[in-house]
Order: sequence, then C-alpha cells, then structure tokens
Amino acid sequence: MTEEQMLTGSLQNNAASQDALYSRFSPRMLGVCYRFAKNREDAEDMLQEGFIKVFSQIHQYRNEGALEGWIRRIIVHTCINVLKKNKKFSESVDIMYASSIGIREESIPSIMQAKEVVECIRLLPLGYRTVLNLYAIEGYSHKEIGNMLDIEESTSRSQYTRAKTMLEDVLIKKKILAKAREKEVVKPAVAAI
Amino acid sequence: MENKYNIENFERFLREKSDEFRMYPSKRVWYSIYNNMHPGNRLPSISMCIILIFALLLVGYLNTDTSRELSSNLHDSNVVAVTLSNGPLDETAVLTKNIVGANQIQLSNQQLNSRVKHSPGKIASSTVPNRKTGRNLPNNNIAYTAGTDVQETSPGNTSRTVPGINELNEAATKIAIGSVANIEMAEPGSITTAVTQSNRNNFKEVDEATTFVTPYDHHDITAVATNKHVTGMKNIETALLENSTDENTNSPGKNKIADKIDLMPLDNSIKTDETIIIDTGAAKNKVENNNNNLPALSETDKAWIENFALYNRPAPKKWAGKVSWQAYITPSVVYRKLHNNAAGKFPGSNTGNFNNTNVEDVVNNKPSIGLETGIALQYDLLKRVKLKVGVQLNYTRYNAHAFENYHPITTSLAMNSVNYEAVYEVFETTPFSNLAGLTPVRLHNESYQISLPVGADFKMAAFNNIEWYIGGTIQPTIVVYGKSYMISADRRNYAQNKTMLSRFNLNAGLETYISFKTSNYTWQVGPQFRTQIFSTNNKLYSVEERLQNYGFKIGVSKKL
Repeated sequence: MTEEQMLTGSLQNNAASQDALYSRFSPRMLGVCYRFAKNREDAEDMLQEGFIKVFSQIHQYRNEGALEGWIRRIIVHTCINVLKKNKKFSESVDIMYASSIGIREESIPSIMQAKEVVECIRLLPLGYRTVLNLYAIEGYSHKEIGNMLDIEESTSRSQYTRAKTMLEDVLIKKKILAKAREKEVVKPAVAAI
Repeated sequence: MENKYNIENFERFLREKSDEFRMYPSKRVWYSIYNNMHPGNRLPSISMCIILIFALLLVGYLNTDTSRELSSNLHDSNVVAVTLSNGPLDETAVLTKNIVGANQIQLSNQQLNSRVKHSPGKIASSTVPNRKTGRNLPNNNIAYTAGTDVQETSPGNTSRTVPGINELNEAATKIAIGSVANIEMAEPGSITTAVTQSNRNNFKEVDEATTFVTPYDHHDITAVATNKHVTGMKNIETALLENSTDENTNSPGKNKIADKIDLMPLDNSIKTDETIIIDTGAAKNKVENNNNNLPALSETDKAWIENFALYNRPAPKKWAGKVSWQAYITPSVVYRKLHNNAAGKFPGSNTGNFNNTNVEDVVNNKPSIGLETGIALQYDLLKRVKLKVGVQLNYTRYNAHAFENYHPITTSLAMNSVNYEAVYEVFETTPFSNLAGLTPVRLHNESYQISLPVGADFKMAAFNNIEWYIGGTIQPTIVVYGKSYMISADRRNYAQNKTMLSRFNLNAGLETYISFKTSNYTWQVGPQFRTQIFSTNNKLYSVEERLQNYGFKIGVSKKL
C-alpha cells in the first residue's frame, strides 16, 4: 500500500489503512519514544497516545514535507507532554560523573551499535536526556525547547552541554565513539576528550 | 572551528545511530489504538462476556436438581397413598398412586411389610385383579396418606369395605418404591374430592387438597402433611412379600392385602396392562381407631413431617449443606530474604564494580506491614476435610534503609546471561546509596497483587461449636503494581528498574485456626504464614528476593 493510499484510507477511518500506516512507522517511532521514556512500557504508552493523535489529526496533514516527519513531530510532542505531566524541566541539575563505570566488554552481550548508543542516551538524567534528544537528534532550537519544556533558553543550552559531555564520556569508555571517529579520521577530537 | 566540527560530527553521529534504531511494539498497542479509533467494534469482547455468562447460567440450570418437578408432579391432588388393610405391620403393603392423566392413575406397588389402607372412596377393579403387574416408579415418587375404610367395587359390581387407617400416633413409616400398576379412575380428580368431602371426619386434620409429597430415599415418617395438616401413617418396612408369586392374590391367608382389596399389587411382577378402576364416589365413613394399637409419634417424626415433602415445597439441593462462602482479612508483617544468585563469582575484588559479599550482610532491611483480604468458597469433601478456592488481594511492603544524595550517580545491576554462563551489567542512574550519603531515607518496596488461593483445611479436633483446623494453600499470583529498589553490583547503591519486576509469582500459605459457630455464621481466627516461592524480580537478576508474611487471619463463613 502506498503512502497516498494509506493517507486516503486513514482519512476515511479505514482500519486496514490505519494498520498499514501504523505498521510502517511504528518501529522507528517507538525508537523515538524509547529515547524519552524510562522503560519500554512507558515508551509504548507514548507511542499509543501519539498514534491516536496522528489518526485523529490526519486531516490536518497538508502534504508539506514527508509524512514520516509530520508523524515524528506529533510523537515527540506527545512524549514531551507525557514527561511534563510527571517531571518539571525547570529544575537545573548539577551533575557529577560516575567515577568509574567498570565495563567488562567480554561480558556484555552482543548488541547492535545503534542500540548501545540509545541505551547510553537513556542513562542520562531525564532533563539532560530530553534536551539532548530534542536538540541533537530531533533538531529543535534551544528557544523551541525552552517553550516546549517551560524552561529558559539558557537552561536548555547548559543542560545540553552537560548532557553531551556526560554522554561522550560514556560512549568513549564503551569505545563506540572512538570507533566512529576512527572512521571519520577525527583524531584531534579523541585526544581532546 | 575544530570544536564546532567535532560537535557537529557528534550530533550527526547521534542522529544516524538513533535513526538506525528500531523497536517493535507489542500487539497491545495496536489493539488499544484500534479500540480507540473504532469504539463501535469493541462489542466482540462484551458479547463474549455475555456469552460466557449465559453459558455458565445454562450449565447451572441444567445441573440443578430437578426433583422439584417430581414434587410438583405429585401436587394438585395427584397423589394418593393407598393403605390396604388394617392388619399387622408385616402383613400389609402400601400403594402409592400417581395420577398421570385425566383417566389414569399409576399405581405403585411396594414389596413391603407394612400396613396398607385404602384411600377414601370406592376402589373398584374392572378386571380380575392381578397384582403382579406393574413397573417401577422413580424412588421419589412415593406418596401415601392415611385413609379410611373404602368401598371396593369388584368387576361384578359388588363392593366390599376395606378398612383404612386415618390416625396420627403411628410409628414412623419407611417406604420404598416398588412396581406400579395402571389404575383407571372413575372420575378424574375425584379422589381428592372424595377424600376431603366424604371422609373428612375420618381424618384428624385434612385439608381440601389431599396431596402428598414423598420423601426421598426412604425416610422414616409418622405422618404425611398436606397443606400443613397431618394425617397418620404407619410404619412400613421394605420387604418382599413372601407369598406373592401367585397371581391370584385374592386368596386369603398369607396375603392380607389380597383379603382386603383385589387391586393391590404385592410384588414386583405386576403387569403393566392391568387396569384397576377406582370409583371415587362417597365412601362409607367407617372410622377405625387404631390409636390404641399404635405407638405415639416421636418428636423426630413430627419434626420430619413438618419439614418434609409438602407440595409446593422445593426439593433440597444436595450440595446446599456442604458449600459455604468465606470472607477474611489477614494483617501481617512482611520480611524479605535475599541471597546471591550470580552465575559465577564476580570478577575482581570486592572494592571494584562487583562485590561478592553476601547481600544479606550489606543491606539494612526492615520489615513492614502487609495485608491480605479475600473471599473463598469452601466445600466439605469429607467430614474432616474441606476444599477451598478463592480470590485474594495482597499488599506487601518492606523498607530498605538508604541515603539520598543531591545528584544522581551511575551505577550498575549485575545480571546473569540467559544461559547462566556469565555476568554482565545493566546501568542505571540513582540518587540512593546503601552505605553512606547525605540524607538518610527509607525506601518503600511495595507491591499490589491478586492471588487465587487453592487448598484444603483439615479438622484436627472439635468440641461443641468450637473446632480446630489446619490448612494450606497454593496461590498463583499476579503482581498488578510493584516498586522494588534493587542493590547494585558493587552493593553501594539502590537502583529502581520496573522492567525487572516479575509479573507472575507463586505463593504458599500455611495456617491454623479455631472456628466457632454462631447461629448463622462461623468465625475463624488464627495465625497464618505465607511465603513467596519465586523471586520478586527477574530471574536473571543476580540477587534473589523472597517475601515472607507472618499474619493473623480473621474470617467469617456461612453455609449456602
């Protein structure tokens, strides 16, 4: 089924079209939710709520930009709304890094690198993780993030800086970033870190 | 510049990796979305519930004791007990008649040693009597009444008087169903009239409808109540009449029934095609006073008569006295038992990221309150054994003493690999430390559960209304909500991870209690011990936790 057929059918509240659209985009969208959520159950709740909004507001899609991008924005806003119900992003968090993580590579089960990165992102405190997701991955500006999370733009910047630093530390110690940078031939960056 | 480039590369790296990442949601998510978008199509689940409820009701109805129908079949003056003679106990028989149609009565004949009396009114035979015909009625199709002497009409239209019995004060009667013979009624329904109108004075108390409902399974009676009035009966014992092989039962002597009335079948060999006409016209009011010859009604007999086998009284359910429901509540104290469950010894020394010290030695746990409440059905399987099944809600809680810091730190939980060959870490951030920190706190580990206890109780002793029981149950359990703080691999911190909580578990309970009966209810009190069989958390987590509840159970039950 093409995107156009899915859209047309979803506008008519056709279950088969909705199922097709959900099946196509839900794996990636659940990945988006998983980066925001505390656990898989919360991520699925966000996904469910997000797709209900997608199908309810499908008539507002104007064919401006990709359908996936439109769905993704709805999902992200849904995730933020869910988090805002439970947490206050206006609190600034001063962070100290863990002194040692103590990774034993040979004891870590074999997983895809993408999942490792996502898991490392999820290790961050909620405020840092949310800002990092919105800025670095979803592409929102600090101003937009400030409006979404009801925080100051400067707070968003500082939290992002700290989150990035903490995440880099974790990733490097997992040697993932190092491998990626080897591919990019960015040796000075590794030395700086 | 370089720094900006590095940052951009880093962000691009994050975006690429995030875009590569996929997760596949469970079916539950789509079903929820579908039900939300298509609420009208939710009916299948509701209709299934209705179908299941209807099926349960149907099964219950089909398995309901249908003896009530039999009782009602004996209603409306359908049943008349015919006593044949006024002879000694061992020389008479009782017949029961059941009117099944407008013109026909089915006569059941008993192989009995008992007194038999005619029902009031004429009883006539249109053919040569052959009492050896008949067929068996169901055991509960017995009815009898006292009667008076009746006028018997032979085929030659000669009649004779058959003495009857109509007094109370007779010994309890036992009666069993035997064979039947067809009897033609002269007038449909007239037996009742005949009994009430023409012979009323012969009965101690007779009401309009002389309907007699039968006991089940051979009960001793002294009289049969009709509309709460009582007429007299005699003791009847089930036995074969020794000399009932001769079809010609008119011969006098051995068979006194034959002496009295031709239509009395005496054994099981009554032919079904034998018809006996009963003329239910006015009968002679010959009262035979048997009071002097019969023992007085005992209290037991009177009680039975008053409570048993009236028309319109529903048939008792066989299980009614054996099933009872119980409601109970058990406040308790909850303890936690921990022990290491690592696949192997942790690498490195205990000062690193892994600590092999026994977890019980490094944590500070305190018991807390718990509560169980539920309802159960109990079935008296044997005199001393009861089976029980129920539904129970549980609340468990225990406290871990810890310290809270201003900032969260990264820690790890030690997990066993799926094949239990190695240990790996799962990282979490937490503000709670086990050994030292800024502010002491209590971490409340709690859970809400639903259990289905199944078990048995054994009666150890009884004294009057007080009984002592010992019981046990197995309780499959579903954890509806739980909060559990888990000790880290280095034993320094507590971290929370909801995905680690096991949804299903199994508990075992052991209890002893004293029960005492009041007028309507039975109360039970006594201690109870309940232990969790499987670990609270995921079986791959390297620390096993089992909860134990010590409580005091208070329950109340009532027979259905």
